[in-house]
Parts: sequence; structure tokens; C-alpha cells
Amino acid sequence: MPQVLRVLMLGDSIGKTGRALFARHIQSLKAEYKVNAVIVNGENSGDTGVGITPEIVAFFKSHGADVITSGNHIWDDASILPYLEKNTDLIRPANFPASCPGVGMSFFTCEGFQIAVINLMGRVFMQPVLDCPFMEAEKLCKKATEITPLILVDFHAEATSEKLGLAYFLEGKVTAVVGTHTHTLTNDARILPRGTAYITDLGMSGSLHSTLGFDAPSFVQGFITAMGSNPQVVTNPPYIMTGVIITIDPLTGKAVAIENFVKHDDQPLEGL
Amino acid sequence: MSTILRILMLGDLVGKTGRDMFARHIPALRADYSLDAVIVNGENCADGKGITPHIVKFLQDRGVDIITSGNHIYDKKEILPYLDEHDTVLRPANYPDACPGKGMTFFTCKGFQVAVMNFMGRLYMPSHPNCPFLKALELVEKAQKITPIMLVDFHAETTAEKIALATLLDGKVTAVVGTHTHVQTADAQILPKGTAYISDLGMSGSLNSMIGAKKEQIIHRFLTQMPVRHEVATDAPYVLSGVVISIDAFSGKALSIETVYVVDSETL
Repeated sequence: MPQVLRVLMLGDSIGKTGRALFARHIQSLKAEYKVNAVIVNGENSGDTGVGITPEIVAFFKSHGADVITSGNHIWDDASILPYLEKNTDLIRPANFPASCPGVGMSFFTCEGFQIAVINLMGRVFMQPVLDCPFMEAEKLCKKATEITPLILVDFHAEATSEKLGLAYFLEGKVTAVVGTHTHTLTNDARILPRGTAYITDLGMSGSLHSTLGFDAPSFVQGFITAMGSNPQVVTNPPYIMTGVIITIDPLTGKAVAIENFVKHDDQPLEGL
Repeated sequence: MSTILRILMLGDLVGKTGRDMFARHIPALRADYSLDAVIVNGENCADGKGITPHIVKFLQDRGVDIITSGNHIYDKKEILPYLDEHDTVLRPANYPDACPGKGMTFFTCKGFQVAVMNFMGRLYMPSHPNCPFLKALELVEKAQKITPIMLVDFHAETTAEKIALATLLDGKVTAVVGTHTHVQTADAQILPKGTAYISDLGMSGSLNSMIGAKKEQIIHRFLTQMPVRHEVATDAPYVLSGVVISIDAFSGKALSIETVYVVDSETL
């Protein structure tokens, strides 16, 4: 058994662009960083940049993703609802009402070790406003700890204060808390004093010169006119793929290291 | 006269911790990066909210050229008359005209005029100023008549609004930097038409804190939804974060933008 596990966690993969980047780079990233497992946030991976379908889940899995996390856009493509009922490799925020399809925690095996993945959603500047992510996190951590000390949390939230708050609340109880939702990688990846790895946001996989993966001019018009806009997923290069690699002591579940990475790519993606 | 200007822009200095971090590190930063000017966001400089004339002097004594701000600018009443009498502390330009102070100023750096502008976002912000996009276009048109060197501090919550303003101003201004989240982003870049950009500069304050404040009280608020008083965190380690922008002084184009992220374990 390996002395450490290395888990790659990727931020929101945007539309066909994000999926094609994942397919193009995941094998070399796994080799370069000696990665044992891959977790990707897939809530924006549908063709329109919101939602996800069973076919896209299969696509990510066939390219090496172990678990797919999500957020507020999980319900945007209705074809995913029955899938969520029957499968646990795609998870939705655990603090959605219990009556919603799907689960917010999942386990997978990595080099003989069980890893728990928990997905939660923030309430500050987020819609809809869900039940308390802190209480839900505490409840799920208790359950997960009975099975494994390896616990990874994707907290899909807007405000830096809420993300830091959950990380400090779970510090020492989980392996890592990573934020998603802003689509912008932060520069604050670190191991908190009690051994939990943390980053405020993993960023995204998509077109670099865009607004969060979508066409920037239509965002600008949307803000200026206040009439709203319907931004499309950008498919032009250059692209970026961002996230973190977390190195874990599998026996204790403690994070040993966390490093962020930005993969730049100028080569056009074909067939988008 | 050199044609390259190197300007340090720092995110929110949080309370005395942020001020002391600034005072401790600015001499070395000035030397290491061959800085020609320093701009800091000072809206959290007092006890975590607002700024006073006394603090403005403290920062200026240590070489700050211009102080930008955001939604906390009016939290300390003694700054109000100061804002009307001086033009070294900015308030968001898209606040109503009736508000004290102004949102654009100019200073001289190695013989070149530099315009600094301050705007505030409207998405998920505690007050609702006028459109920052239209105000920015208006001020850029004014500043262009005086200098091609224009630096913009956009105090806003969401990455979408920040990137959108940078897209609108790309090629028209030297740099757009975001502040407000107190967490430095890893996206410093030169945009396609030559404007330097970062979504957030981050802060100067206690590193393992709640964006500069003591974390215990704020976690309690998240858990109970009851109001709490914020206090500035003072424990080490500390962080000081921002960017250094290199500028061609004649064209106003940004040549490079690099992040500064100093972590310091020595107790203040």
C-alpha cells in the first residue's frame, strides 16, 4: 500500500470546453502529479454550461474521475434526476432537503483505502437558501468517521467568510475543505494548523478570456443594461484548467500538502 | 527619466494588524520590487471598519501615495470632512454625488501623472451605488485627457462583476484590480488588449482568521444566525498580499503583473 495518497480536485468544468480539456489533460496531469484519485465539480459541464447529464457522468468516469461533485446547478438538466436516485458517484449538496434526489456524501476505494467525499452548499449570497451547511457537515463527518479518516469536502459557496468558516469548523476533523462556485482559483491553498487542507476556490476548466467560462461581452451588456443576458460557453483558446493536488497520509487522514495548479493550453479544441 | 513605473497595490489592510504588517514590510518590499508608488485599500484600517485621518497620516508617513476604499469608507465619522478637503483617500466613484469625497484622483510618479479610480460593485454588496460600468466609462474619458496611466480598484464581491468591468475597460486603462473578499486570487494576468487584471488582491492581516477578524465569533454567527461583534484578529502568522504592476509610462500599458504574498510568523 502507498505511504501517501495524492488526490486531484478540479473546480467547475464549463460546458464542452471544460469536458474536452478534462479529456485532453487528465492522463498527463495524473502522471505528472502521481495522482491516485480524481474529483471534479461537474455542475456546469452540460452543453449550455449548467447542469450535468448521465452521459457526461459516464464521460468523466471513463476518463478517470472517481467522484463528481456539484452545487446549485445540479438540477438544471432534468435527465440527471433518476441517475442521482440510483448512483452515488455524482453527489449533490448534502444540505438540500432530504426529499431531493441524490446523496451529499459518497465513498470510493483508492489504493485499498476508503475515501469519503462530502458536498455542501453555502447560504450567503446563494440561491436557494438551504439548511445549515455547518450542522449538516458535522452530522456527515460523524457518520464518515466511523468508516474512514479520509474525508474530502467540496463547499460550493460564494462568500470567502463562509468558506473559511466551514474550514475552521471542520479543521482537524476532515482531510480537506475546498471551495467551488466563483470559477476563480485563489492563492491561499494551505494546511490549517490542525491538519486540514484548505483553499477558498478551485477555479474552473474553461476558456481563459471569458467571464467564468461564458462570453464576457454578454455579461458586460447584462450588467450595463440590467436586462439580463444569455451568455454562451466560450470555446476559444487559450484555456485554463485549475485545481489542487492534496497529499494525504492515508492512515491518519491528515493532509500532508496542498498545492494549487494552473494548466495553460493555447491549442484549439476540435469539434466544439 | 525612466519609462517604467512599478506600482504596488495592496488589498484591504485589516485593523492594527494590517497596519503593522504594512509598516514592517513596506521598506523591504520597496527595495525588493524597486517600487515607484504604493496604493493600498484602507477601508478596514481602523478597528476593522473605516479609516481615520490619523491612520491616513500613518500610511502616508510610510510612503503610501493613494488610499482606496469601499463600502466601509464612511464607518468612522471623522473621515467625512477629511474626504472633502483632501484627494489622497478615495471613496467609490459610483456613490451618489452628494456623498463626501470623490472617486478619482491623480498623483505624480517620477514625473508622470497617474490616475487612480475606485468603484464599488452592486452584486451582493451591502449598499447599492449607481452603475459602476457607466461611471467607469465616464471617468476614464475624463482621465484620458490628462494621462494614459489609470489604475482602478473595483471593490466588489463576485468574480463575474469584476471580470465584466475588466473586460469593459480592457485596453482603456492600465489595470483593474479587485478588492473586498480579502482572499487573493491566482488569476493575475494581462488581458488581451493590455490591461493588467486580478480578481482580488487579498488582504493584510492575521492569516488563519476570518478574513482578518477573530474566527470564533463569526463561526458562532454562522451556527446561530445571531448578530456578533467583529474583532480584528492579532495572532501570527500574518499575510500581506497584493500585486506589483510594471507600466510603460508613455503608453500607460501594463507590461506585467505579479502577485505579492508575504507570510510572516513573527508576532507583531
